Parts: sequence; structure tokens; C-alpha cells
Amino acid sequence: MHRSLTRFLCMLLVSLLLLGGFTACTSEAESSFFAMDTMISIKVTGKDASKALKKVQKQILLLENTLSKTIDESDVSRLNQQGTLSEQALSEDTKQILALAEKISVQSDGAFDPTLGRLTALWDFHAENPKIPKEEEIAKALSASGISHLQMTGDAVSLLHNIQLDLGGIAKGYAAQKVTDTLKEEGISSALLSLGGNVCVIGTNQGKLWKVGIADPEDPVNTIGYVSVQDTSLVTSGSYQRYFEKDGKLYHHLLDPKTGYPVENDLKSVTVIYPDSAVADALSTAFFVLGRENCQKLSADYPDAGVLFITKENEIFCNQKAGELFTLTSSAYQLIPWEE
Amino acid sequence: MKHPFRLRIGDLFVLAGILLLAGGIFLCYLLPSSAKKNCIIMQDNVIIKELELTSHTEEIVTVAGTYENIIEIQDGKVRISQANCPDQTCVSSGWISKPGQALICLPNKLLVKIVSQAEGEVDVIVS
Repeated sequence: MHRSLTRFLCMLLVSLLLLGGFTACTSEAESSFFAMDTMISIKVTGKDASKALKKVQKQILLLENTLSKTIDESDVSRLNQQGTLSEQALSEDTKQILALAEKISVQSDGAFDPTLGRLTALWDFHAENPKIPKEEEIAKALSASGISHLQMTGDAVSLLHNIQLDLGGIAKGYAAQKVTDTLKEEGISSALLSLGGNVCVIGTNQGKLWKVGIADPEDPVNTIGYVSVQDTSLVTSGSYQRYFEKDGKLYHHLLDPKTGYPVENDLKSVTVIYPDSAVADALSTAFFVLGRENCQKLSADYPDAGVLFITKENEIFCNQKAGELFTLTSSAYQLIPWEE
Repeated sequence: MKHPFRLRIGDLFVLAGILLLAGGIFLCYLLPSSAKKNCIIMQDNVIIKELELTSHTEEIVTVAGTYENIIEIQDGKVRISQANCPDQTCVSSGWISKPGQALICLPNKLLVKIVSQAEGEVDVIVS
């Protein structure tokens, strides 16, 4: 009998040693750096975490060099300069992001518009002293925009009617998604990735759901609540993220493609929760531009998207999907049921 | 006749090994993590300073670069009290004190973050 007991205890010991060995193989790596005009933080856990982290850091820099409109040799800059480029002259990433941007622009009736390059250059929210453009300048920039002027034939990509690309509303989300895909391919079991207003999570945080705080638009280092999630992405578009003040009025960076001016509605921010971060990025801009009242059609195209609106009246409207994940923690805000 | 459940010396060694391992795993993973908070100041992916954030910590850190930021640490919280960057977003962010919170000065590539092994209110903020 005691032999059976010894055998059992030995097996238990071996199991524990194997568990210990497995745990020792799982490492953690973390990095914060500036790229794509934002602060990027990545924390990964899994086998060869450091190697995976180095790989995705390179990937982000490569994507920035491909998609930025301020880097002269990028695909986007070359398209803006030359107007037409053959498909062979463009990277797969550029072709993929343009196809997705076109799709969401059409679905949102132009609320998300990647062809507003002339308008965004005119407003230049990155300038040290941004200025309000003249009305005639805005009208001229708007006349050179519109997704129907982006032509993708399969052989070439052309910017017709003098349009210019600005992928600022989707590029960070696209990069976040590509990085997430790479980390999964590298065997990373758990990760937290933050690119400014874009967050992606892989797996869980040591068995618990990730708690992603939703920024208080009045005080963005603090939160109004959080969502408990795994294997998804969150993107926030808010009027507080980039703005300037002139004669007592705030001018924010979320431009209305119909008027050419910053969107004027009852919203302070929109957060979208969706497994594909590129889609979430473009949708958050589109929902902000459309507002709560006009987003039914786009919502119907993405029934799995969680959407959370924060209004200037400190109300929070969640669709059913977001409502299932969201916990309100701020007493300054009121959660209101929203029937889409 | 031998007692069927009598343990031998070898069994005792194996049992002791298991107990030691179990105790180690318990200490590493199951005990509540330390509630110690640290403030990490980074510029362009390089840690400039890391210090424990207690109610007694008082320090002023000046970070040079393209612009200059003055970081004030006191009473368990941190803020960027002055900066000569154009947008002043870092200064207007005010104080932070909880794990998961961060201050960012994009023009000076500065990141000030609070970290802790203990479970915080949130893991990250989407802003």
C-alpha cells in the first residue's frame, strides 16, 4: 500500500515541478515609446515575450513609415504627391487599410472620410499656433474631398479631383490590430497595448478580465468607469483630445466632412468596443460625427460593436453590448438606457 | 504483519518537498500583492527616474529635452507643474495618484506613470 502512496506522491511532485518549469518559461516584457504621433505602451506575457515585443516595435515603426502623411517617402505621401501609383508600388498594408477605409466611409455615408487631407492640413491642429481657416479656404478644401474620388482599380490607386489622403482616423487602429495579430502569432497569451486613444487586449490579466478605464472628458487622467474585457479593442474619439481656443471658443480636431468645421453636437466622446481595432478606430470617428440620433444605420452594419456615448450634459448612453461590459464609477455622470 | 499505511523515510522526504513547493507557489501567486506604488518617469523609452510613491515622498524632477518639464511629487501624487511645451496638455492634466494613470507630454516625449503590483481600479485608461 505504501508503495502506491509513494508512487502517487512522486507523480504529484513531478507535476508540480513541471508546473514550476512552465511558469518559469512564461516571461513578461514591457515597453513605452513615441511613434505615430502618440505614446505607445505595450505589455506582453508569454513565451519569448521580449523577442515578440522587439518584433512589434519594428512593425509599428514600419507602419508609421508607410501610412504617415508627414513622412515624405511613405505610401500615403507619395500618393498625395503623385496622385496615382501602381498597386506594385504600394505595400499590402496600404492597400488593405485603403480598402477598409473606403468600406467604412461608404457605410457611414461619409461621416468617416479618409480623403480630408486638404481640410486637416488647413486646420493643422498640430501647429504651435493653430488658426481658424477662412471660409473660402474651407470650401475649397471640401470641394477636393470625397471617398468616390478614391479610385482602386486593382492595377493602380488614384486620387481623383485633387483629393489628399489623411488616414489619421484609422491608422493607429490598423497598427494596433496588426501588432495584436503578430503577438498572437508569436504565441503571446496575454497582452495590453495602448496607442493613445486605442487600446487592445489579448487574453486575460492573470485569469481576470482586463479593466479598461474610460477617460473622463473633463479630466482625462481620471475615469468615469471601466469596461471588463478580454480579446478585444477599444477606441475613444473625444473633442478633448486635441483642440485650441480662440476668442473663448474651443475648436476640436474632429471635423465634420459636410461643413469643414469641428463637429457641433451634444457629444464629448464616443468609445467603441470591437474585436478589430482598425474598424473600432474608424467607427469611433464616424459615430462622433453622426451623433446618437443618426447612427442607427451604421450600428446595424456592426451589431457586435459596443458603443458608449458621453454627452455634454454628463449623460452616458451605452448600447446593449457596451452596457453588458461597463461599470460606472463616477458620481458626476448618469448612465441612461439607450434604445438604438 | 505490516501496517498498511505506515510511512517510510522516503515518503516523508517527498511529502516535505511537496509542502515546500506548495508553500512557494502560495507565496508567489496567492498572497495579496504588495500595495506599493511606484512612479516611473520616462523620456523617449528611457527611464530617467523611478521612485516609490508614499505619503512622505517629496521631490521635484526637471526633465530637459526639446522642451522642459518640471515634475512635482508630494503626498502620494504627481503632477507636471510647469512646462514650456506649446500645448500645455501635460500641465493641465493635473495630479495623478492611482496605478494605471499617466501624464504625457508628447512634444517632449515624456511619460510619467504610476504602477503597482497590487490590483488597481483599472489596468489602463483609453483616452
